[in-house]
This record gives sequence, structure tokens and C-alpha cells, in this order.
Amino acid sequence: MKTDYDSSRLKALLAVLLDGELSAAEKVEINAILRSSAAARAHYHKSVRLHAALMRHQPEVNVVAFPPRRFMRAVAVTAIAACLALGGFVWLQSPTAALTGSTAAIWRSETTAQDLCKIPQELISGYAELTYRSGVRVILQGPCQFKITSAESIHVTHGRATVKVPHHINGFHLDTPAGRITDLGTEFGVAVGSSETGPVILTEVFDGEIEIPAETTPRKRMVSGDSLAILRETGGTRLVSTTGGYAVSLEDSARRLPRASSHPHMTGNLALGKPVTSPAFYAKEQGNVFPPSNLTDGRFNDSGTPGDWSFWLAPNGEAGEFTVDLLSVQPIGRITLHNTRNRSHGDRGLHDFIILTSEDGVHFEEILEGRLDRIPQLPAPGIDFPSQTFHFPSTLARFVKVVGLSHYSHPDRPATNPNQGGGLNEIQIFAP
Amino acid sequence: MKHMASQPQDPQEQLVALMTRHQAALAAYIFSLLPNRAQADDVLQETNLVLWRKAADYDPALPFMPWACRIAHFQVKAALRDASRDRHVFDSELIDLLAAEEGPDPEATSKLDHALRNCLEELSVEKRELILHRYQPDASVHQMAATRNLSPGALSGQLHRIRQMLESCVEQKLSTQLT
Repeated sequence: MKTDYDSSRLKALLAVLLDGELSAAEKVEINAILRSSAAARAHYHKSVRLHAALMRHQPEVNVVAFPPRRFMRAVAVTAIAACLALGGFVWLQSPTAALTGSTAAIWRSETTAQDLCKIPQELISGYAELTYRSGVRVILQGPCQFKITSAESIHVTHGRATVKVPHHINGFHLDTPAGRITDLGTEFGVAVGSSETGPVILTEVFDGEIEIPAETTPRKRMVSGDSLAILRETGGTRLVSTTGGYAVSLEDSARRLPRASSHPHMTGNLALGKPVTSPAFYAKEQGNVFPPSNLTDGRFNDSGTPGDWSFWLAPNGEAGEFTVDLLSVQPIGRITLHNTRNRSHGDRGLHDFIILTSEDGVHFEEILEGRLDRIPQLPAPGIDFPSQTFHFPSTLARFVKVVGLSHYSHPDRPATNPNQGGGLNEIQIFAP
Repeated sequence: MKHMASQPQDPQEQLVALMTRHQAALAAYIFSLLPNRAQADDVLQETNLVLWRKAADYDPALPFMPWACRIAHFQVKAALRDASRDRHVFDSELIDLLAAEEGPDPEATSKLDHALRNCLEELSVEKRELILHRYQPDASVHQMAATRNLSPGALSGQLHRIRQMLESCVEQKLSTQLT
């Protein structure tokens, strides 16, 4: 077929358009080609249709029983997982807000349209998007407990939320156990958690301006790029810009609904929800607590909130060790480890390690020595951290011990910096 | 524990069911007018919101998609007015042309998805992994190129060739379905 446009030039421009960014001159060129030829536009539509189909394509994900986050609750509830089709959404009407999307969301209880705005909700895992009638958009990341309190407010008692308020709206409120955060036409994130002494709320302003509770003045303003932790203690409110030796950062929060959230290879994981012990773990004030139970909680990336992080960290100066108790002697032959990068900080992962097993918890035998890669980049929200699988000859074991030999350090901190150690996100153990 | 679910009952809920069913087609339509993933996502959100607010205006006797596309087209142009000029890909005149030509429907969209799924399986493992990686949420071609020691242009060329293979495979599957 004869064409009235330069199809190889259009192909080249489409490749740039779909995978990169067109320069100003290229934009002028593609506009001219498409404007002048119906055949060129048909070519464009065909390519873009496929591109859009690839964007919504989801690899098959097995729907598996998903355990509750904490092992202790396992007896009380039976979990049903539902991976909602991406791109589609569940739309529950209400006078003030709607659930306009979710990704791999698991809820504590069934919620009807009426309930959504009346009773507190608990998102156990995954992501949900609320859209208010005013246009305000809230992305929630499980585990999260919240309640829609009015057309201009939400109360988050636990978990992560990001709020995007259109510029024409003035004053959307996000209430937390440490006080009210008022959004003045902007985008910001919170991680609502707690420490032994009271609520700890991490906040970061991505764009615009917000007001938060303050120490001496009634309110304090934060602007784009600012991040602070709000501590509500017996003495009152305290604001800090660093916690646990790191600057407060919510860089890893989801600012839009992730398209996918997959948990591959969950089926048959003998370690899931099983008790884990370690001689010591990193535990400091302001909710900087990283116990070994996080290693079998089914959360495969560095997420969470103060007091409820999803990964394990060894104490400072140690590569660390921990032992998983499978509760009965079973044949095992494969172990998958998900390293940590300590959220956006990019340090503290395990490097070299050995694995030992035991039937009685007393006599351990080394079964393998391995090395984990550093996780160089922060994966997008909803994407599991990369994992590495180690195979070994079938062995009978009830206890699996991982002993760190070395760990990754912060790329910009000297080796003498005391604030470093080992850590790991998740361990999965499988039958041979 | 259950996921949220609702049964369509009143007219507004019926509209919501229609919106849900047409969501993929609507997203593709918006992207064809505004080929920037983040901007197109925002416009889809705004379009959903407008559709929701205008539920009372919707006549269920008329087909849903033309009505939704008109609103989406309008929202794309509104987004264009709000965004700075350097973020525009297509000018207003071209958007009108493209909007008039593309008539997506959910049936064709789901057939395309089905064909694409089969075609992806026919690719070599290497090619399939590469293209699926590219379409993971927030994947960056620059980052992918860096980890593969390729220039972004070289990687983009590879991706482009895989898309062309998929395009012709999908086309073939859809045409044999018709006959």
C-alpha cells in the first residue's frame, strides 16, 4: 500500500514518544506528520493501542491465601485474598467520597458504600485510592486504619497515606493521633505510627504547603521538600527532622495507585507467619524498632510506619543472626531471601551469610554459605524487592538459622560510622 | 476478610458498573490523545469524577462510550490548558482530529488484551521479559538501559522491534478471529 507519509520516520518518532521524551523539534515534526495524513494517524492509533494494552497487561498472578500480618492473629481470622483487576475499579458511592481504585487490596471486613463513610476501615495490605467529591485524592497503603470523617477530612490512626489536593481547594484535613495536618492545596505524605512513648507521625511535603501541630506556636507550616517527624509525648508535641540517625523521608510512599503488586512464589512457603527469634535486633526510640518477626510477615519490601516496619535490622555494628521455627520437623530444600535496603536510605542489607539447620534447636549443622546482592535502586511502590533463591540437598529441619557474616554499608558514610549493621526483609523456606 | 464489592442497583450504580466495564477502553482513548502516562492517568481520574458528578445527565438509552469519550476529550483539552506548553505533546487541533477517529469499545479492547496475552507467550523468554519489564509500573527506560549497559536509544530500538512483532502478531490473531 502506498502511503502519503514517511512511515519509517513516524516509527522512529513513535519509539521516542513511547519510551522516552520527544524534543521540541520532534514534537513539531510528529504533529505535522499526523495532522497531514489520515493514514499516519491510523498508524499512530495502531501503535498506541498496543502500547496501552501493554500498560494494562498484568502477568498472571496466583491468588493465594494471604496470612494476616501478625502470626498471633492467624487463629482469629481466615484470610481471603483478592487481586482486583488493575485498570478497573470498585466504585462505592457515598455523599462525600468513593473508593476509586485498589491494587491487591485486602480489607479487614466487607464494606458497603454506606459503610465506607460511616465506620472506620482497615486495609490489611495492598493499596486503595479514595476520591472525594471535591477532587481530593488519597492513596492509602496497608496496613492502614482510617475513617472518612467529612467531605474535607480523613482520620488516619495507623498506616501510610498520601494526599493530593487540587489547587482550588483550601484546607483539607488529615487527622492523626498526634494532631491535625491541614493541607493548603498541595501533595503530601504521612506515615502514622507509634513508639513506646506515643504517636510518631512522619510527614513529607511533595509539593505546596501544609500546616502541622507544633511545639511552641499553635501551628507550623511546612513547604515543598520539607520532611519532619511529629512526636506526641507526655510533655507535648516535638518536631524532629532526623530519626534513628537518618533524615525523615517518605520518598518511598505511593503517590499514585500502583498498577501492580505481586507476591510471587508465596505458595508453599513454610516460613510464612512462623515465629522468628534473634539474640538482638535494632530497637530505638521514636518507633525505630525492627524485630525478627518482620522476616516472616509476608511483606516483601521496605514499607510500614514507625513501630510497624516490614523488615528486620540487626543492632548497630552487627551483621546479625536469627532463627525461624517451623514448629515441626519437615524436609526442606530451598530458601528464598529478600534483602533490605533500609527504605530510601540504601544501606543495612545482608552481604555474606551462612545458613544452619537443626531438628532440636540445640545442634545446628551448616547447610550453605551464600551472598546476597545489594538492592541498588528503590523499587516503585507496590513492587516486591528482588529476591535470591538458594537450593541445597533435602534436609530435615525444624529450626533454620541465618547468620550474617557481613553487611552492606551506606554508600556515603565512612566505614567507621557506628550507625550501620545487617538486615533482611523476608525469608521464605520451601520443601525440596 | 473480603474485598469490597457492590451490586448495581440504582441508576447511579448502573452508571458506575458501565464506567468500570469501560475503564480500560477509556484509559486507552485518553492515552491516544495525551500520550504521557502520568498526565493520562490524571485525566482518567478527573474524567471518572466528572462522569460520576454528571450521573444525573446520563441517558441509559444512549450508548455509554461516546458520551464518556466526549467528556474525556474535553478533560484532555482542559488539562492541556492547565499544563505548561512544554509538557504538551499534541496541539489542540491534532487532538480534535485524533479524538474524532478513535472509537474504542470494551469488546475490542478485551479481544486485544486476549490476543496480546497469547502473542506475549509466543515471544522468546528474553524478549518477553524485556518488554514486560519495560511496562512494569514506573519502569524507566533510562534505568533499564543503564543496568544492561546499553544506551537508552539502543534499548528503545529493541523495545520498538518487539512491539512491532507484537503488533503484527496481534493483528494476525484478531483477523483470524473475525473470519
